[in-house]
Amino acid sequence: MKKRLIISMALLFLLFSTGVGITIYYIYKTTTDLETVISLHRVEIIRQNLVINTQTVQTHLYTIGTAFGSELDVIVEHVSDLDRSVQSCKSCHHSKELTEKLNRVSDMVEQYKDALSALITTTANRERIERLRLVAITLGNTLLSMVQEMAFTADQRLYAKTVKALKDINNSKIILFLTLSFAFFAALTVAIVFTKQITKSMGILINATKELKAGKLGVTASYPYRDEFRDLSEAFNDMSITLKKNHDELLGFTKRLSHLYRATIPLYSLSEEGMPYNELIGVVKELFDATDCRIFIRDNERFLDIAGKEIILPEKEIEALHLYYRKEPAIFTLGSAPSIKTSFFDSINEPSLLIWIKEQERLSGLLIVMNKKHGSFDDTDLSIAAILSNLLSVSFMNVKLMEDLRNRMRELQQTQEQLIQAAKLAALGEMASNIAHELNNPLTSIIGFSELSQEESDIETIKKDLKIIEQESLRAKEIVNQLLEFARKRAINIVEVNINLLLSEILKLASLQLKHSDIDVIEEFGQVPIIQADHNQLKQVFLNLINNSIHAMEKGGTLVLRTGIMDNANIYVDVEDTGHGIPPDILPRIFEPFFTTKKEKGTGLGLSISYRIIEGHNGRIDVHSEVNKGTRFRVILPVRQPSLQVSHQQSQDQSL
Amino acid sequence: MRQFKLRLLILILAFFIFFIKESYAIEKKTIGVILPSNVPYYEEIHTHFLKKMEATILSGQIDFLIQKPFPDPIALSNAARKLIAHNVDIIFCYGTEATIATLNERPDQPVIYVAVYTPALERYRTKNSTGVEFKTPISSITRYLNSMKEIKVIGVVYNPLESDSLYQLNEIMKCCPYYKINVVKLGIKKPSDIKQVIRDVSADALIFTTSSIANIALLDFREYWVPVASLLPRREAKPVISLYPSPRKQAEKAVAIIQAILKGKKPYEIVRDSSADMELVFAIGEAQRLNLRIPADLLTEATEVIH
Amino acid sequence: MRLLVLIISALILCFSTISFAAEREILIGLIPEENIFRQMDRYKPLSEYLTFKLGMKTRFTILSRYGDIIDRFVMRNLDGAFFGAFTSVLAMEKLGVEPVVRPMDLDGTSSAEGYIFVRRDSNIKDIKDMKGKTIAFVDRATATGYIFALAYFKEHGIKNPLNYFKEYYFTGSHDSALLSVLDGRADIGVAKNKIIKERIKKDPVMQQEILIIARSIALPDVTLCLSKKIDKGLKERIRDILLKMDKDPEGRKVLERFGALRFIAASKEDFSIVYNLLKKADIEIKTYKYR
Repeated sequence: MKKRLIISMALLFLLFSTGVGITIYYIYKTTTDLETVISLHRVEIIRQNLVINTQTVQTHLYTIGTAFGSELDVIVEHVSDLDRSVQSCKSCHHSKELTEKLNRVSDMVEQYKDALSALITTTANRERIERLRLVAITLGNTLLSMVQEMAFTADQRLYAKTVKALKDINNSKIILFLTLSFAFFAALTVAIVFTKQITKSMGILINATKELKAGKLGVTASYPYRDEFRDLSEAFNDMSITLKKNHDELLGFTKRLSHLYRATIPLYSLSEEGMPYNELIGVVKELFDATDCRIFIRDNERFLDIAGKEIILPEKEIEALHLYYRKEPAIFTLGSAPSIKTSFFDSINEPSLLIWIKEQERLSGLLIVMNKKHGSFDDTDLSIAAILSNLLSVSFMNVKLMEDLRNRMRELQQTQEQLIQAAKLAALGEMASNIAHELNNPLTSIIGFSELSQEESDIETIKKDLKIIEQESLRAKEIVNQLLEFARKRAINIVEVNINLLLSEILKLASLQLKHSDIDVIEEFGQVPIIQADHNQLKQVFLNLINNSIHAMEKGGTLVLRTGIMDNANIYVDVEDTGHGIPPDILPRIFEPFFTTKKEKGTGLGLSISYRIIEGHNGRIDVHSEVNKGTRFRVILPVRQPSLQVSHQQSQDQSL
Repeated sequence: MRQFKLRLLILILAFFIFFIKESYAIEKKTIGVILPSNVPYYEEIHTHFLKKMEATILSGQIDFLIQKPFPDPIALSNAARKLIAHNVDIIFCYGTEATIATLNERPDQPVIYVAVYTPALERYRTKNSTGVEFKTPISSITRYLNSMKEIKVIGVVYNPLESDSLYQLNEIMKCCPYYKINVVKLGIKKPSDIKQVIRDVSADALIFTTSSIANIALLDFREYWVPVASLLPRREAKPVISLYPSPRKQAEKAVAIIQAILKGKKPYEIVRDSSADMELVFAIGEAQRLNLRIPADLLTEATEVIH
Repeated sequence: MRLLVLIISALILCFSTISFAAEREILIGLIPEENIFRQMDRYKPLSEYLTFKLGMKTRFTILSRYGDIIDRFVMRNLDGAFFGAFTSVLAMEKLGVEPVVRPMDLDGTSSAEGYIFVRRDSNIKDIKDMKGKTIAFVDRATATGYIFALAYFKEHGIKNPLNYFKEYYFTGSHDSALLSVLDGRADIGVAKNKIIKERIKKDPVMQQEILIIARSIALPDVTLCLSKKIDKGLKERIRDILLKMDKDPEGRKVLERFGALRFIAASKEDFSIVYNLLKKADIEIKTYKYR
């Protein structure tokens, strides 16, 4: 972290020095630009000096030879100035074109000087002197025009340069601004990154702390960097681990308590089977983190092992042990307790936990927990064992109480069955009276008409009477048949039935009737599996249901036959009509035998038989009906009939 | 008496004067002049010559028979023959070629010449000829050209048929290596050749020799793009440098010689005049036009500076 | 506090010298020898050096060749001048100036010779060939450019030298005399050897073009002569400063710019050869019309 701090500071410093460097550079550039412009202006002055000097010298030319001495020095002085002006011009310009021009100017100055010198020093003759003067003047004028021309172009250039310099300065300003802002932002970024680095380090620890706070004990902050924060994080990790360890211990304890609690559940949820020892053993093993647990229950004068009962512990010995440990749960080690002769204890190699089960101060059982998986039994185990011991004792008492309760219940049931039998007999009586009444009607007719025919001589009338007798007899027979049918517990003949096919078959049978009653049939057959059922019985059921529907729709309507899959194991068949429906008050009674709404037409046994058949197939019939709207019978049938397979073969002979 | 004496004296004097005049008139001499045409330089000398002659007492006794042939050897020879046929008393030749052409005819008359390039004449000298000669210092031309501009290649315009120009070419070729200048020979036989000859040459400067043809060709080189130096003047063409014998002095020297001949001296008795009388003309305007340096030496030394 | 007083007094002293210098200045004339601007460039450091050493403003002024140099000297109220061999004698005679020092050139000479020369290709080999030719002198008032030649011709039996030639003229400068011959504007030239050597140094080709027919004996060259009105003390100081210049590093720099090894003492005796020459040339200095 120190290193990173130093690097970051160095980076910041670097950034700032870069910024400062750029700033200085641009300030320098700007000032240089300004200097350039200033120097250009200065050059312009030099150039003007050049012009003035040349002009001065030129004017002196006219007076040379006329006056004496002094003007020579002036000329020399001015020419030297001129020369200096040109040299200073030459020293600072760089453009090739300009340099060439300047060279020409300086060359011209040289020529001018030569001509001047020649003019001044020549003494030969007037004509030559005048010529030299003329030449010098011409050269001077040429020089002047050159310089002025240059001054003009330079002026333009100067203007352009000034404009450019100003522009550059402006640009520099912008660049300066950009640099400063960039430097600022860069520094900011570095600062942020650096701060983030620190806060990241902190963040890792804080997050870990937060996680710790959130309960994630033992969380370790995996700190990736090698710095001071690492020490901190390691300290944190130690703390966290310690916390977790403590917490785990606590948790372990709680867990054991929960095991203990769980152990009580089977104890309290005692069923008819009595004590759920296996479950108990499992829970106890978990509770004590042991691999083995045995329960011994007192049976007469010994203690029997629940599992297998091959280990028998003598009562006396156990009682002695119980007393030896002062009736408290104990940790038993071989040889620690006296007067143990039973060989079973010899097999206990490691310290084992003994938990006593008592029934009101009377020892009724013993739990031996062996082979603790991790470590050995300790005081915690003992205290839990004490609790368990109490619980077991209570639960054993509960078992006893439960057994008592069960016995009472059994007695009550027997009484109840006797009462039901009595009620059944009463119902049978009523049924018998109903049957008698049913049979009485045709029999009375038969008897009456047979008496009448005996006295009648007219054969036609006799025939008529005989006909009636026959009809009444048949009716009686029908009643008897139906009664027989009802009474008979028919064994069912299970075959594989395609229910859709079956329904189609039935519809064919009923087609004439359906047509006659002006009923539309809608077949909504779904993809249903082949089911295992009694083909004939099912045929009877559905024929009966369809018949009922036809009767319900005397003025026509729609009959819907629907098949479908109810669930994994069952299918359903709907027989739905748009008939008059069943009033709610009689709906509960429709499956009762001999209950009928069509006095003349039915026996009142159809639905009741159907109900029985479906029940026999482990299915059921649901009815849903609304008056004047229609009725829907839903027959639900299992696809497979495993339990009925055998009985059906045996009962085949019994069927008619 | 006194009056008579005076009258007699006047009469005698008048007679004397008349007599003398008559006697000189009898001895009237004819000078045949060969003045090559189209070379203004010779015309100029001739003008000076005539002026100078007129100023002398003998001027009235001289006739001039002037031939102005085109400056080619045949025309010049023809002119000389004509003068010989005319039996002139003196043959006066302008320029080297005319002189050589005349001398080749071996006339009996004294041959007086002017503006003759000394080295070219050496082979043709006769006892019967004398005149005014000159020798242009070629090195000066080169030196001045070089001081105006750095010169690497110099083109020399000459006529292979004119011996003076050949000699000058030789001189130039001898002197130029000292200045590390290469010489390109630009021989022309008629003035119009110059354009062809010059086309493929890139010279830093041109020297036109004293060849009449070259001098005429100079005319085509007004406003040329390189500095031109000429060994004969041609004012219209404005060569930057012209170095030539002063026409006035040449004429004066010639007049002095002719005077001596007329007085009865023989040519071999008269030392040919080769004293220095060069004129250096600097066309400063041309130099400025060509962007040349204007050396002070040229300014101070030039006998004439023109614009 | 003491330091402050010291500084202030030093400043006052400084200012007083400057104001003193402004009052009295030494003005020394220069006769144009070459391009006057170059000449001025050469002499300027010397004037500064003298100003510094003397504590007196010393200034050089170019003396035009026009008019009478002696008149000019008087009119300008000069304190001295750098004269040539002849002009020194002239000024000594007419103004009573005193020769003080003379620079020693880089080649170790402090004298000059006059040359009589022709073009090598001119066929002039000796004085006999010169008859009827053109001659270019420099000026009547130069020993090397005229008087020596006059003496030479007279020595060689030419009584009236100027008539011996077809033409003679004065070119006004040594350079011009040389160039006149080179250009063929004169057959014979007379000039100072230094100028010829300098020219040849610049343009070695000239060496082959020039033939020297005669040369003079060594004559004292440019000499600083000081007016008689300058008191002896100042004269001595000036002489002293100039003579010791080569011992002073600052002075050596100035000498380098000036183009001389050092200054050497000059005396009237040095000019006896010039007087000799004048005698040979039949020139009476007091009455000589050098213009």
